Amino acid sequence: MPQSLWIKMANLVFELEKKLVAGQPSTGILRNIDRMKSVLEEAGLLLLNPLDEPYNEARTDLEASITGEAAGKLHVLDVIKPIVYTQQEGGRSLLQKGVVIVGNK
Amino acid sequence: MSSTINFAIDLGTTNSLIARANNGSVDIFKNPSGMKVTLPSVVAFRKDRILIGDKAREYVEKDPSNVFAAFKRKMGTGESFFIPNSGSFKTPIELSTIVLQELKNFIFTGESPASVVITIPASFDTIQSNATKEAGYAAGFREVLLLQEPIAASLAFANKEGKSGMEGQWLVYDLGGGTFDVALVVIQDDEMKVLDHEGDNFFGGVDFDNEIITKLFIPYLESQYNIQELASKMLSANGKYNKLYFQLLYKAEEAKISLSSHASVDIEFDFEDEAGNEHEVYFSISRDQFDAIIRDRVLASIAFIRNLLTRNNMEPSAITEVVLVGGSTYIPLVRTLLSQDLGIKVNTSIDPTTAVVEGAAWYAGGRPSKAEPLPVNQQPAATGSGNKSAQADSIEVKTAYQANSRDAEEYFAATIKNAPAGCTYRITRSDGGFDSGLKPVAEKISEMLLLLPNTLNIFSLKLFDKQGFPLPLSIPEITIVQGKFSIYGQPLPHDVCLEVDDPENNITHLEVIFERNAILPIKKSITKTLSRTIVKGSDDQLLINVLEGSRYASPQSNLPIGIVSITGQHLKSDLVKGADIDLTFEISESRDITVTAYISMIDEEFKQVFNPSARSVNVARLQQETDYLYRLGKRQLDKLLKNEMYEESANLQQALRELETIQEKLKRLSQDDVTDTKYQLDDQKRRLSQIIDTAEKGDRMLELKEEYYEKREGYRQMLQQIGDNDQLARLDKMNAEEATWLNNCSTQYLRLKISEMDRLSWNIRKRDISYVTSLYMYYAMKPDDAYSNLNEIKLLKARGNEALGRKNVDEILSIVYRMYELLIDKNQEESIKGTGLRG
Repeated sequence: MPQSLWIKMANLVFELEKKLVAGQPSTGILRNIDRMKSVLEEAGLLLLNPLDEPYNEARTDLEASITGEAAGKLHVLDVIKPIVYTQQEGGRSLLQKGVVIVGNK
Repeated sequence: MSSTINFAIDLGTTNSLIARANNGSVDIFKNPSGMKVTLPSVVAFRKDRILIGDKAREYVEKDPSNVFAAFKRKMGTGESFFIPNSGSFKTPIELSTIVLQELKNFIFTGESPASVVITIPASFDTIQSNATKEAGYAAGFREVLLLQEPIAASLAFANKEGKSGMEGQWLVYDLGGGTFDVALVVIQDDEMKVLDHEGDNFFGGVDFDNEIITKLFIPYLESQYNIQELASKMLSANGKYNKLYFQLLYKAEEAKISLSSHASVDIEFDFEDEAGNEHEVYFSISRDQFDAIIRDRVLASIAFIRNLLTRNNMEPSAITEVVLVGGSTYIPLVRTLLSQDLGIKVNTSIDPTTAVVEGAAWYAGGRPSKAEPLPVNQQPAATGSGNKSAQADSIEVKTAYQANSRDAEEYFAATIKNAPAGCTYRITRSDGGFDSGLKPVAEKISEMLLLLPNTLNIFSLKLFDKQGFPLPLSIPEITIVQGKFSIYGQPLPHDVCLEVDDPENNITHLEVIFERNAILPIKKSITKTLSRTIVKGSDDQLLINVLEGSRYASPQSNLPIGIVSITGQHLKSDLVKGADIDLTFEISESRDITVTAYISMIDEEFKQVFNPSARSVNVARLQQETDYLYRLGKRQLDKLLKNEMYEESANLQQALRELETIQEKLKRLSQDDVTDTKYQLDDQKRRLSQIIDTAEKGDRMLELKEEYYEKREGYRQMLQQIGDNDQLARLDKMNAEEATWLNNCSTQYLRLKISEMDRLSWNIRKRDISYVTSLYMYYAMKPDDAYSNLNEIKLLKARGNEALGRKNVDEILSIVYRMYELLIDKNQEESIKGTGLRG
């Protein structure tokens, strides 16, 4: 399967998890999400959710929109797309930047 | 030195790109951070660092006085920009130089081109053109050729379609992210020329995104959730809905892109109303809706073309075609209106986002380079000689950091001595997820390095001189291990494996879960399928047997460190063969092992924690293993005795006697015995297993190794015949790994490798009609009573004979598979009852 399709799948898994976490999903559904993530990992993709992480301008793993006054310390307030790395022979490399909204908490 | 220029740069108002002509093709370089081909032409002077590209663009609105975009429009003017953060001024040429230098960092081949073609808008006058050249020289190029963007784009199209496709006059319609240009191009006397051009510096794809927000999203949300003046609340930095604006901007861009290839698109986002209630909004946009809201803007761009044509006394019919440049020209309405409204053929044969740089690279590939090599004392630092090299030799860099970390970021410090004034440094992470930006060098520098979890993070520190050229220093890589590899963690002394079934050989073998020397704590999840049905209420059991020892050894000779048994008595319903079982294994730092099994078909979880001080031995399993070892040993003993090898058989005879004793003791032992007996018996069994293993190995190993070699070479021949070089390379790699296991593995493991060769060979053979036919004939020639279902086998043979006529490989194979299933005697060997987990 082409890598672009794996990334699409990774984004869908991420969105699904994001929606489920907001509600009270059954453990069975969360298990399926974990299994999907394991499959993605087997396919060489590492998914990271940077929600609530501190943000600074050296983070080239994120494509940020800065909201509010943006004074002082910034944090990731919302994640539209997760960070995706791929494992290749020479090591990891960034495949998709996380698309995030950052601002003051 | 290259004889042609080869390198080309599209120095755009919004985005810039770099490419290289490469013997008849063009390579467009990607940003090592994020792997995009485009670099936003934006430079940000943050408090302590300079950011270029994507990161700089993020601050355009938040820090406008220190962040500079679209400075290309000011090229050739006397204007300078004041930077409050540094208290200095920068000219548009200097800003362009920074972008050009950053593009040079995209060249992963390590080349440092002396000559380059840089594209300029058709509207640039002589002063603006010279300013661009100056930026090129300042960026280290010694020869800079300029090429007008519409000409570059035309060359890309001409190269694709041949020169004949570009005869007469044509238009280059360039609609990018934020700017619009149209140029009238002609070939006169074998020369491609821009006759005239028009443009709008404030029209581009981002306007379409905003139209989606203001004309579709906002009216819908206002009416649906009774909100007043949502637009102003979204656009105000302190407004309640400022975050929503950025979410919707992203969604709008996604929708726009999707509508280029789909008739409608569904958008979803979360929305909190004024009362604080959360809503999941599902919003559908059709292409018709999108077309309706952008139609006026697109028509306005066509009005530019009409003006251009009128000014040049031309009718649209005088134009051969319109070539499209810029990402926004993917929009179908743009293409439709251009072709319908003007009646001109639209050429979409090339990627509009890279057309300019591609065309420029074609041009560069055909232009001889006239840059003379520099005298040695003027050579740039990257060449490793001359003044700069001497300058670099005197620089001393000492780094300090923690090589292992459990934190998300790690403090890095360095002392840099004898660095020339005005130097900068930059630290980047090799995976592209961290870039410090350019920071001024001081005697002591420090940086918090962001770490990727649970992996080895490799950073590089580079120094640049005042002009932005890298200084030839050999600073060792900064390597930091984050998380599990912490020095505090203990390594596993042996492999930890799971015992799984090998139904083809009726044996079990080991599958490695955690490799020897893996650092604790550690966790892994795998999904297996059941190899047989476990009936509810029965005594049959599914075993999750975790063992410690070599993965190449037999399961019986490894130490059981955790076993979960799920018997039919525990089940609410039958477990059907083929059902999935999720297994999670965790080993803590103190070596507690947690095994969790979840069976989705019955939605039940089984979890057990084992600790090293309390070994777990399952009596029923011990009985099965002892019986199996006894049968295996007996068979081997018979062989030895038959060959009158009495001396060799003595050890085996003794082992069998001891196994009989264990069998006797086990018969008397209850399943829930609380004494140490079962542990003692398990220890004895493992010792005896090694004796039997060795006895069997000596005899069987040679045989199995020969079989393995034969199958491996057979597979190689097949690959050579079909010319599959990829698989041949893989096979060579497997060969190279053989040395690690071949002389110390169990017979079970070797059987597994033989099966692997069988599987690989089968993947090739099953596509070969003559092989599949002979296979079918083998089973079809067997008498009907060799099969368990007479009626079905007759039917299968009839169907098979018809399938042979059709020469349909898949159809014949499906019949062969079923015949094999119906075969009564499958020539089964000595077997052990499996765990229930398919390997």
